[in-house]
Amino acid sequence: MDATTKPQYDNGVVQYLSVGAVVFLVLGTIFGTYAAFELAYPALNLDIPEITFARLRVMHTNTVIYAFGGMTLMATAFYSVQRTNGVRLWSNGLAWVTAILFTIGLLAVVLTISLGMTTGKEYHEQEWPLAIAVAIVWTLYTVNFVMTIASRNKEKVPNVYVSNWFFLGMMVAVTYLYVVNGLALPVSLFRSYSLFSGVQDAMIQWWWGHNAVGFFLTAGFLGIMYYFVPKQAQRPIYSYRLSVIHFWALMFGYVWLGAHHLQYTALPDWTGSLGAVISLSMIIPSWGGALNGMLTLSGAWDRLRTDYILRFLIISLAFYAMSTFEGPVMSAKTVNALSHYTDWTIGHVHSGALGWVAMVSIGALYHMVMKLWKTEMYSMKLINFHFWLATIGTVFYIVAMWVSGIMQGLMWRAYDEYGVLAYSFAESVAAMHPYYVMRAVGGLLFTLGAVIMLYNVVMTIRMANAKQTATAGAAAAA
Amino acid sequence: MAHHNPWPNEGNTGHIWDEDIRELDNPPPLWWMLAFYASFIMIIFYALYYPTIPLANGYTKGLAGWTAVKEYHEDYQKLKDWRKAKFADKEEKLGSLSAAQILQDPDLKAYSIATSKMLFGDYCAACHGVGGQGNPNFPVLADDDWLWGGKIQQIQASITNGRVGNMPARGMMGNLTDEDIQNVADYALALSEGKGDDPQYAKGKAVFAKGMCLACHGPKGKPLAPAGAANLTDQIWRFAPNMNPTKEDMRKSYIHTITYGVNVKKNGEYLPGTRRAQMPTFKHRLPNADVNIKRLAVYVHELGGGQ
Repeated sequence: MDATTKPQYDNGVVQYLSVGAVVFLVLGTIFGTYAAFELAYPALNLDIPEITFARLRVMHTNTVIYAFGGMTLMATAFYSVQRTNGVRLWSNGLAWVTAILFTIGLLAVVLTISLGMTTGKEYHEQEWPLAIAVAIVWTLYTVNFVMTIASRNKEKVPNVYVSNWFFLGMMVAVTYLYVVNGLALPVSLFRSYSLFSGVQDAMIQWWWGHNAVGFFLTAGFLGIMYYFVPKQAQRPIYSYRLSVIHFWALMFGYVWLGAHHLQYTALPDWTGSLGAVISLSMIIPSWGGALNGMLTLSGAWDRLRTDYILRFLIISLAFYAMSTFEGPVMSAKTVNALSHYTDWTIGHVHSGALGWVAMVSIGALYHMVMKLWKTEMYSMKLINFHFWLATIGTVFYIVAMWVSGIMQGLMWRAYDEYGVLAYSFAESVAAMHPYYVMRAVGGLLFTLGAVIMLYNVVMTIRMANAKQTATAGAAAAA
Repeated sequence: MAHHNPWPNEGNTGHIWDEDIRELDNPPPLWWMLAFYASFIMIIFYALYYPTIPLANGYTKGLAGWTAVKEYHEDYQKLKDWRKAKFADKEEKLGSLSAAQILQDPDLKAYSIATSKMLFGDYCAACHGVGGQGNPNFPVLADDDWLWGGKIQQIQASITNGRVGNMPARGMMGNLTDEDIQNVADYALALSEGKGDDPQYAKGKAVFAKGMCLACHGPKGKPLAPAGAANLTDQIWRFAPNMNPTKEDMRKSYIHTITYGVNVKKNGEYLPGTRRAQMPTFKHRLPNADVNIKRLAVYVHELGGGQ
């Protein structure tokens, strides 16, 4: 290979998906923050059905998980699969079709939910026509990704890099989990009934529900980590062997976890226990990923002082390690009996979603924007500001939910001196108020950071385009 | 193929991607490997201890003999035993005595009130407020104004069977004109201020008789016996838009109530705009209803204005 010619990659679709991800991050966090304020001040729903908490919360989860998370996964996967395999996308046209359909599909999902159309299955609210569309788009994405790896020059790139394993693992698992959980009998255009019923439906639902977290929000984002951390830190991955072990442990382990959501229910006892014990055994494999990312920095820790993008990537690993410890602990029976159905669960989800998923995505997106537009960021200071807003916002959020969640759990089971429940349910709701306000403020800080990011990205692109026009103009003049 | 390795001495695996991504050949940290193996050993012990492994028929029961339902029953039994040891005599008396008798016994009365707070909070407070202070369109329980009677038996009957209010639209015969209704609304407001006999409200007073309002609300605006009709001579409002309505609010509210009535049905459907006033029956809703209704009746009786 001629050392002077750099390989050419398909960047347009990645640019589109990257900007789309930032836009959806802003939109999704605004939905979430407003929903949080509605919980603290219910009058804020203004009696408009489309923005009542019940719908806005689902619009929030769909926008942040599938629209923001999904677009980030597509952008980073299309970006890194080309570079780690040294080839362009198998089909740039297909990638564009995938990206455009995904955008339209997600907008339709959010719109239909605001109109009250829902399957009622958490993290799978899309009604059947949209669910089918999502599955098709996902398949197109997967095919393009697999074929790009397959089309690499096996002489030059004999081995498939670890980031691609994680993306692939996610694609395979999410496809079958999503399809099986989505099996339903349509009765009209926007109404269907699940093929499963009773406890089986609950089991299938959480088999998917937890793996939306385990594969979509973990495996995929570990793929992001494995490409962008060594790139941004300019350091080698700490241990190849560690990456192999924790990859397979997660792939085999995660699919078992769903039942830990259904302990102390009508589900047979063995299912909950099995889900719980596999969850507990996932702490160490999860830490394997966090460790491998963090130790990649060994010898370069000082870079955290100057490299704000690296800060996002590394703090995301700290939150990842924390929430993958917290989750299994919450699945242990005695803890679960207290924590389940309380805000602690919401806090746990957000320490993963804000602290890990969003932070690692934000770091990767900043990295890609600079590379794709071949420029520095418009403002590095604003990235640092964004970092602190996001970190403080996340901490506010999860601390508020820890306190309120544990308080809820304790209030619900407290007895007074007569052996009667000490608090009515409404009293426990009233006691949540200060924490709901604190959570909403945390969300607001995080959202503010996202808005600053969008501004920074837009200004960077404008700056890059202006420079390019000027250069082109100069070239034409010469 | 032999890669050119620009970092020959850092201990990488020799694989290089995207110009500079490479992996070191470090083993995983020892503590991590040990913990990893320990995780698998833990699965074995956990699976021996708890019901965990599905079999062709049923599943392994585990050495602990634990089941979720058993844990619940044991916990609940402990609580029940504790309560029994401390309060069995009192609970028995609540079961055997009438609510009126409980009210007579200072010790039992105090016990009933102390053990009612959570029941009231979960079953009553949504409509009547945490302290029985009421809500707009839901009656206050913490005063001495009773729609269905404030005697302990009457309160007990209200909780047991519920209450359904009713008032015809546009007077008993349904023949009040809009003008009549405005006049009688002004008269009702005057009654609440003790000015019902002022000559300026004579027209309204006449409508009060013509519409046969007095049949339920009493000739002077005060019902002769409690049967669900509101006392019009005080400023405790049955239907009000908020907790502190102005006089103008109340005039509008009266006009609405008189125009559309309360729980008025036409062809089995509620008339649009009709006031809804219904308390559900609690004899099937409350746990241990027999004792708990008496307990709550005493509690409500003592909130402020039991008779």
